[in-house]
Amino acid sequence: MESLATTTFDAIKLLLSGDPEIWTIIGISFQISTTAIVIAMVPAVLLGFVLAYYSFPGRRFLVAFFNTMLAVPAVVVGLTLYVILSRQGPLGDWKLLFTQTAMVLGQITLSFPILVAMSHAAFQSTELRAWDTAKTLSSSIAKAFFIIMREVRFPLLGALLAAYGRIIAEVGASMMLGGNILNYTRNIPTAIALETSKGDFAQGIALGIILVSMAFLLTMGLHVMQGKGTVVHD
Amino acid sequence: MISITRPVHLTYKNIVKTYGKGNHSKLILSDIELQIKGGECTLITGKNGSGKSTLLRIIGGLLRPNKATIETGLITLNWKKYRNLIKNDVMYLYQEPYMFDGTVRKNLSYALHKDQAKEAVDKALKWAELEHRSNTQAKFLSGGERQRVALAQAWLKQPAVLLLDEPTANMDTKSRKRTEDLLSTFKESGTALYIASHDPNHFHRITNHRLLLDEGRIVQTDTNLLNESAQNIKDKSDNNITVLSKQIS
Ligand SMILES: Nc1ncnc2c1ncn2[C@@H]1O[C@H](COP(=O)(O)OP(=O)(O)OP(=O)(O)O)[C@@H](O)[C@H]1O
Ligand SMILES: [Mg+2]
Repeated sequence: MESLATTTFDAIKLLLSGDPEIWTIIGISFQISTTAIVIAMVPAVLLGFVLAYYSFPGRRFLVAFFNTMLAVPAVVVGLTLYVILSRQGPLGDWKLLFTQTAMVLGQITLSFPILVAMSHAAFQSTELRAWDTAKTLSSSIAKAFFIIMREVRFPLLGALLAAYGRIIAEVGASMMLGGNILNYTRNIPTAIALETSKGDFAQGIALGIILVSMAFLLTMGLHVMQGKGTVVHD
Repeated sequence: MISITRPVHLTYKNIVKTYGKGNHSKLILSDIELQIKGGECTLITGKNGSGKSTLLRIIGGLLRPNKATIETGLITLNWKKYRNLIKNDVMYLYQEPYMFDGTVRKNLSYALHKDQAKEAVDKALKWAELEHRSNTQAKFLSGGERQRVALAQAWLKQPAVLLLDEPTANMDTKSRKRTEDLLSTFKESGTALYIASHDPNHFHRITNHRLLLDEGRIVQTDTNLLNESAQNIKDKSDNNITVLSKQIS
């Protein structure tokens, strides 16, 4: 095995050279995870909101359920969906296994509980007084909801980032549901797993660099925005 | 949009409220009856824990009572109908009003009705003497300033009924007087005011009626306080000021 320094150097060279295979993998990763988040986001945040401000039978159960779902390993989610989507499964006729759609479904299932649990926590972090005040000030529930959303925008963004971070770096479900097909369902984590097992560390490290830089940029971005939100300019 | 006819005249009968369930339930309000009339100010007094906030939150539609009958003069309402009816007409202000992230101006703009012009915010700032604070982060305001922001929001909404929970509890005399002045402009424009205060002497310049709450009931009612004091001033014109303050305290 070459030294870590040489491999890292090769990895950077690979990225900078615009290697089409590696950039296709990166593109697929972002495309699938972004689709999943965009689809999961709206219902999950609404659910988190309802769980925080409305009481109804089964509310506690739902909160516990989504918090438990957080701890379910990605492979288990992958396995469950695999069984459902496989030819003999209930949705076998849809022929979705080993497609990007299957990966999107897997990532929606993985991100949904995170989004619900974290947006629930975000809404809970403001007092009930905030929601009552928003309702008092607004002539419609929609406007009150908008005011509250704005109030918790940073924790909500945090929820989105955490969910995105989980699904874009997750191997188990993507591997089982997508099948790691080059130029179609091979994304960053499944590529890293494959290349590393073949001994091609340079590509693995290149993809790793992309994941880490993305995490860094997103976290920094959130930090900067949060700073702007709280510093007074008088 | 449904709304109640103004000036309002609402009668509440048999308000009952317990907290908790089963054996642990605690009766907070039993059989309260009261009236709300446009242009009049009622002070609810009573010691800590007597249920003042609970009562105001019920009237404001924020807290569901176990029982209550509400009459508008024309019809009798159940709770659900009442809540729908008052949504845009009854406003409850917290002792420590909640300020949303953003400037004072931003907070006021939340109270704007969709066909109300943006300039209304400037008028509201002026009305509450908050112009110098318009671009300050609202979360950093003092208690008295927050209260004025909340009053300015109410001024923009022009509710038929304004409910205030200990609005001047932590204020010095000067701020309290300023709040009273702002409140009296609501009265003049026909808004019904209901103020909770543990001190029966607060707001004596604007209070028409005073209710004393104890053990879940209204144990004392003083009505038409302002007219009586006017009468007293006429009768004993030599030292009217002392009489006036004694009468009220
Ligand atoms: N959500 C609640 N659950 C259970 N008990 C409550 C709740 N809210 C209030 N209480 C109880 O009800 C009683 C009346 O409370 P309330 O806040 O209405 O009194 P108050 O007259 O406003 O008191 P204060 O002068 O301290 O503001 C108190 O004993 C309080 O502990
Ligand atoms: Mg109180």
